[in-house]
Amino acid sequence: MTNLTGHEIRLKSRPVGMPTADNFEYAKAAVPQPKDGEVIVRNIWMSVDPYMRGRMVDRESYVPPFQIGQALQGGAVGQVISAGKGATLAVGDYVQHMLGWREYAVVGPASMPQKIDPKLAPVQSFLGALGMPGMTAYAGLFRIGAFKAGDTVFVSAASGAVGSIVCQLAKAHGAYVVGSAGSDEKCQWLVKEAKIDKAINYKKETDLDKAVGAAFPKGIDVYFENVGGKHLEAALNHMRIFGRIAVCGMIEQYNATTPTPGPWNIIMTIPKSLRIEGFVVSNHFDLLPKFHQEMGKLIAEGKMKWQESVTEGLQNAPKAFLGLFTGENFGKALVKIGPDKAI
Amino acid sequence: MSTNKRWVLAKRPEGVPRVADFLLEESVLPELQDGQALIRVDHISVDPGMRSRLSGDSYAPALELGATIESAGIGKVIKSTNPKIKDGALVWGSFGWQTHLLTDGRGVQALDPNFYEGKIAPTAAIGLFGIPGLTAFFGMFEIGKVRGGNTVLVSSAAGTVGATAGQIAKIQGCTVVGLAGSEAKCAYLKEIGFDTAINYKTTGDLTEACKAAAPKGYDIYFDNVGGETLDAAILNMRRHGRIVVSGQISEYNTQTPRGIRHTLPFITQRLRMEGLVVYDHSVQFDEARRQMAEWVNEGRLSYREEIIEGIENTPEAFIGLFKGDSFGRRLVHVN
Repeated sequence: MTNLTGHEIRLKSRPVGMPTADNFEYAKAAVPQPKDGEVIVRNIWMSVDPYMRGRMVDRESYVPPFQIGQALQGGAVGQVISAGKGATLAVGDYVQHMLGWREYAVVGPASMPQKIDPKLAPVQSFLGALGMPGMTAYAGLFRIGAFKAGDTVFVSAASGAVGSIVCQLAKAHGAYVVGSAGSDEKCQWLVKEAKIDKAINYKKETDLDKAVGAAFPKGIDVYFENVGGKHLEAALNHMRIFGRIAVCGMIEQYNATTPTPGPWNIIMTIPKSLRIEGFVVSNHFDLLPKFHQEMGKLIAEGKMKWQESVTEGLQNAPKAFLGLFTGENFGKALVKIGPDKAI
Repeated sequence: MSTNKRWVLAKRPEGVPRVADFLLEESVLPELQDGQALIRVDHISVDPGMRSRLSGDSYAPALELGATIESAGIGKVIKSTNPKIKDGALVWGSFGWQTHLLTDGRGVQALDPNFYEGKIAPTAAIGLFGIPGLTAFFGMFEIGKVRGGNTVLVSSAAGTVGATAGQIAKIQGCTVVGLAGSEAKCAYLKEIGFDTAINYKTTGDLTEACKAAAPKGYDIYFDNVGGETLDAAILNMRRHGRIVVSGQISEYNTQTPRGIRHTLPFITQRLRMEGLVVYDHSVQFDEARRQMAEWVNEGRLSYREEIIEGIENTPEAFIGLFKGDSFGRRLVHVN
């Protein structure tokens, strides 16, 4: 053990339906010595993401479930304060890794550390636009959505960490882009800052299907799905022939205790020759160099904007996580859990 | 002068169609014009996919009231003044539910007598070598991306599409599970090489039954049914599984389709689901026919036909499709 002690957030119980603060525990933990090849990272930022809800359920999925009594995991950015023998990272390096939800992380190769360049963009961007959400947007739009010039694109949760990047990547390639979001403020940002063609405030629309139809008189070529439910039904109704639906997330479904009905119109896949495909970003890391090249260029040209929703303090991380499901966040949800400079 | 009997759409069906929704008309065909041919129709098909066109619902173009019900058919050329169509030739095309037709030749194709010999009867032109067989072929290869070692689930497996899809998967070296609605159909599936046949009418919990038949899950689900069956399949798909949507007969007769309940596995298992319109692959049709004929002649692929006698029985033959009482490619012998 080092003589360091840090805090961490543990899973106290498995949520049923919507999670509550009671499912989490804020606890103190001693920090072990780094083994050969490991480093100790003082975390500065951590990410909360909807997919973490799935890991709270004890079932087979694309990532193993969280264990009760153990610290949660997720994307984080920090600075190396101590390095074990043979570690490829050095003290002072900024690093992005998968051991969030704690102040100090002992990071080995299994936590997929990546050294980041703080001069390129603010370090927390590596949890958003330049990190997994940005890469998810890129892989989903171009590989799964098979986007091509001239396509029309519909994006749900369009002001979110993934959606906002999808919108701007598609715009950068000349697409007609419509996004849906849950407040006028988000919709205004989408049109004014992200420069998409139309934004639909789905909370105000009494008939989402009609609103989507009106926004796409010629139909949708690519639907980037983050929400599920009524959004998916509306998209299915207005897809064009040979349309592609890239299923990235279905946040409306994550807290459902029984499966919700729908989409009732899944049969549309036949007459329109539609393709619906779910994906997980970790299968598409071969696209990372292309992604970095394109995003770096767009950011340098000032053509990529994003919003951050920052919660202060590790103890408030559960609250930030719960906010994902109530639509309170605007843009990438982050938790600031340490000083900008750890050493 | 020839007399034609044809079934037209009398009114738009609600729910499962009834005989009264159709009307049998008799008319005298006009004299043959220059460039036309007179065809005597021998066999016609009844197809579940026609259902959606009868009611003019949201996605397929509706058939007009009073129009002849469309279907595939095979027949013989009685008289031709069209240089491309020879007297006495066996032909096939979209002839509709009728006994005779005058045609300018568009969409009429001659059957190659060398192809339709031995084990392959001319009626197979509108079955195994027509849209149903081609749907199975392109669904399995192009959308299902079938590979040896895959585990495959097929619904309506005793129908022409399903039975062909399952046998193609077997030829590729897959483990194949079929769903069908009677013990006789299940016995047939075993006979043509399916590894497991599940009688969905008596099995109880279909999700559990599909799981028991392939505990490690399915790489491909070939969907002819939709609805609850599709949900059962979704819950049993393996990672990177492919769902080929060929048909959804359980949804055709309802104003309020059920759709599906389980969508999260699309993400957790990275599923791909794709609808198939077989005409998208029309340039490869002949190649597919040649391959399937080779398999038939080698005894590795078989097909089953069910012939109903008499044009007057066509609506009942069609309606029976939705009760699951057909077994194999259902054709009506009209002449």
